[in-house]
Amino acid sequence: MNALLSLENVHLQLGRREILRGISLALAPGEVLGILGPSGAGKSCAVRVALGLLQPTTGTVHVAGRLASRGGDVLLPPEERGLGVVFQDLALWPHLTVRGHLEFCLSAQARPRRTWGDAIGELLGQVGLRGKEERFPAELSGGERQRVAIARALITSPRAVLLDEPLSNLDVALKEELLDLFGAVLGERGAAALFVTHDAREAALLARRLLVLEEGRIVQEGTFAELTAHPTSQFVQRLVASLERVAVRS
Amino acid sequence: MFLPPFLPALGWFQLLGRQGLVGSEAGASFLFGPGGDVFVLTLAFTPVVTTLTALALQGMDPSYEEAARTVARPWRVATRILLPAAWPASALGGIVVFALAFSELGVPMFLRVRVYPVAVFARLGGVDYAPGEAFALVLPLLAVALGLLLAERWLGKRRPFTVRGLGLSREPIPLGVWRNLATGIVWTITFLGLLPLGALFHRALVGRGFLLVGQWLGSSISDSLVTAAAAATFLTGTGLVLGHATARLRRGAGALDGLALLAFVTPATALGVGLIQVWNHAAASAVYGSAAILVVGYAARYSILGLRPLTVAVGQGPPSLEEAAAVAGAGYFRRLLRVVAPVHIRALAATWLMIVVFCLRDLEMSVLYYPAGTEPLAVRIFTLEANGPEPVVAALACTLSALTGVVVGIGLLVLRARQSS
Amino acid sequence: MNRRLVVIAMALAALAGGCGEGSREVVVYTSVDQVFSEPVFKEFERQSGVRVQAVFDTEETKSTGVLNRLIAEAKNPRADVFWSGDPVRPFLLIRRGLVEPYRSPNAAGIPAQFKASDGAWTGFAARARVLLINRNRLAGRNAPQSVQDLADARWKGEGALANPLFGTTTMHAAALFSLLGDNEAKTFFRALKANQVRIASSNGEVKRLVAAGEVTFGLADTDDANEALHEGAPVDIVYPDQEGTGTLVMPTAVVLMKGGPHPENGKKLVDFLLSSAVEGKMAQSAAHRHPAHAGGLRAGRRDDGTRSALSPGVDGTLDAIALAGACSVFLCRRAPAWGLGAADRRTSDRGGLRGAEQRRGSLQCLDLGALRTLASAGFRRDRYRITPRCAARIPPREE
Repeated sequence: MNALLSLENVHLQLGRREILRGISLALAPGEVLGILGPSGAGKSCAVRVALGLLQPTTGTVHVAGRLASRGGDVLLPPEERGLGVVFQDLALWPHLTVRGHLEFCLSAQARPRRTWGDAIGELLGQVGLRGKEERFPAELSGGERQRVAIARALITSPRAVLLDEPLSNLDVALKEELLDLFGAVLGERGAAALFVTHDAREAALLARRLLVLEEGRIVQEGTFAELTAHPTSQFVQRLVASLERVAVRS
Repeated sequence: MFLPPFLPALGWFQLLGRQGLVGSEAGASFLFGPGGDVFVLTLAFTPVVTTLTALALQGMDPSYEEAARTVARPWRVATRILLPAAWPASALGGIVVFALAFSELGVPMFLRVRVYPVAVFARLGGVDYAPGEAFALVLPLLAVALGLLLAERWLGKRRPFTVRGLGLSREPIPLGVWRNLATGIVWTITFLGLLPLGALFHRALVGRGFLLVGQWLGSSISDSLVTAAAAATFLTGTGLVLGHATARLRRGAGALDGLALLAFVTPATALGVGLIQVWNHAAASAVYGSAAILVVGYAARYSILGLRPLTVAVGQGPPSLEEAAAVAGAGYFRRLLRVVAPVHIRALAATWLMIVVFCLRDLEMSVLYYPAGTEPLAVRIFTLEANGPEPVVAALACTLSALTGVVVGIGLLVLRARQSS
Repeated sequence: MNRRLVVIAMALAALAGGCGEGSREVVVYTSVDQVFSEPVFKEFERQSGVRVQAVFDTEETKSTGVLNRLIAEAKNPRADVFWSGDPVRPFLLIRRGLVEPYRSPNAAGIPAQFKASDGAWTGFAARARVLLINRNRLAGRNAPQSVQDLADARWKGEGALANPLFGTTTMHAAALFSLLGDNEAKTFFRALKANQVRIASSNGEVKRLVAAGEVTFGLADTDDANEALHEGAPVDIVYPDQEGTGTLVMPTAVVLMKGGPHPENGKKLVDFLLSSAVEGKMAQSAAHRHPAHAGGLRAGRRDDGTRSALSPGVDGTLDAIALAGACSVFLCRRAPAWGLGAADRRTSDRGGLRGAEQRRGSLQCLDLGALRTLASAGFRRDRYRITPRCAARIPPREE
């Protein structure tokens, strides 16, 4: 098994609600895997299970070949999984500056302090935030905050980054710009990524392989072209229908 | 937080005083000194900080914590992310405690500790009435109050909090071996907080104080409740209007908020004497001579408690709700009553409840000017404490505790019902 | 919003209305402990049908409480009657012209030294300063009979006295200063110190020390002394200085306030308070006040053997009020002068239980004039200068 991150038959029950009903997925090194699905399909919970923030009710999670979670148990705590995350609401810490965010992440690792400056400088250059090191989140624009969030996810050189709808509520132009940036930075750093979204376009732009999640199950898998060619899931069927209507009107 | 601190002080006296349940010379000499004053007030005010911090943590987006958990150990997450992010709330708690402790007369007087405000008001009265000197001595207090105000302002400056609940149940931070220690500390503090009340209850029970309570209670329960409820209703109403204005317009709002905060941090006795000067005129007798003056006093001292939470609550709601109503043709009052108030009904209820509780525990201000014949329960306990039969005083203290408990309990039930509906 | 405003308005109106109607009520401020005064007011309500609206003072707020409030409200008086727990406070009001002289018919039987001839104030329901003596520790010796015995070498290390910074002991000290003159009084208090008199925090503490046999005798108030008897302690009570200067008696005092809202009801309440019945009630309640009415005091003297302590012989009583009005106070040397507030706090009979913590310091005396000087000077000086008492503070003696 050479997957960086894999979920095997993961079930998740929160209270009485069954949220994940046996999903399995594997993320290969360097790969960007898209998870596509409507709101409420269980995408965010899958991310939290992968991160170790939630324990699966049954099933297992492996990180780099190590058993990380097993039904009802988190064996490897989140901070030891070597994963990065960008949340939908970004979750930037209001009391820390841009630099503060990155330093906090670095300080949690056994890395000599003198290397921090270079690492931070390089990454901020890559995400286009140079010169904004001392700003607080409240002093940044929407796009800049996204960049801080991605920088925070990458500063620890994680095995994989989990992107949980990071681009919702942005305009199309900014979305494209940031998608390009994500693609470029992930490529430069050779990091794998799990990209979770409800927007098929976004997913197709960043990820080659897509999984469709519906009501806690993975219902379809393939490239964008494969999915739309053989829409077996409701979600994809609607997507195809919508694409056809746009094509007809234009 | 919910009781006048001199009630726990009375309880500690029942415990540690020379003839207390576990009384000893050493215990008594500790209690009747600066150490005892600090001890009693610390325990009495601990809930202020913990409650405010807990509220802030509850209101905080759980993903702050989750994002940190992916890179750092729980301990570091708590110390570097959670507590600093909740710091403005904790610091506000600190300021509130400072202000309350600064105004506190009951405990230091009971324990015979000479704190500055006690000293000042000794100058103000008694055999040697010298208001000029007393007001000169008050000036440093006002300076401190202003300092607090500025400190609060400074804290508030960098507070771009987006507070929203994700609705996910929060996983407790695994404390590991620290868990037992932390649990122990929490239980110890809780136990220490309840201990003096237990001692009071014991004293009242043993001395059959409860049998005589009715005789000494007078109309103080209804006096307390009615005035507190009236003040809370008034402040919640004005708090909604002003808090809404503050959250939306931001013009002149800073000054208003500052004024309200200044009133809160100003030593209550200064406020009380000021109220006598302002309201005791023939034209205002209807107010000054009646329970209305209590309402006026509470309103003056506790307006910040209505203004601040409602400002925050309204500020966090999207303006689009009101804008939609305005587009639909609703006027200002309709918008406020039909849109803003229902949306923030929980905040309104919680605010009302908090003000009632603060009014019930007010002693240091109302003792100065309560109208003849209308003695709030807290004041009555305080005045009866002198030479009054101990079991009765203890029983009255238990009554006030129970009254506050009932009010808080009903309030929480109502809040919970609102939440689930 | 409208609905809420209406509710508030109604609530306010109800509050105002409930207390606003005036003719059948009377407003009284009192610094007599609520436990003792409230039952008296209730009795008045029952007999007269006039509702009593009372503001009570406490031990703790005595320094800032009703007296202060009476002065602060002087422009628009709210109180009809002030019933003071001590005979000093009324003078402060009289000096400020806040009092309406009223000669109650019921004051006729009260001896002249307990009232003003013009009716500005009337004293009644008095306490006396007595020697409380532990029978067991006395061990057959002749009991001390004078306050001076505290300084007598025969009783070295056997006496106790409450801190003169507080309460009635303050007044007692004032009386002694007035009686003996500054120098002699100072000598007396130095002698107390040299005689190893225990300085207790309060009269209640003195009672405890005597009852427990830690000292042989001490100066206390009659209410404390009676409590000791009530508790079954092996103690006797001696009214000191019957052969000499007399026992110090401190009445409570009632005044009618000038410009109060209900003057007629105020007079009724004063009459009621000064009635023999009330004095009797006060004497029997835990307050243990001595009737000031001539009959009460003199008749009581003959019952001395009953040990009820309601029977001081006051034929030789000092002109207590005038003396107390002199307002000299003592301070522990290290006590900051702003402790006056505390000094003014009359110690309760239980006060000692919680008050033993007062720091003991060397005794030093000064009068109020000096105190004020010190207060404004920032209390930095370690030694207080003794200045002559201010004559204006001594109320005019009764003819």
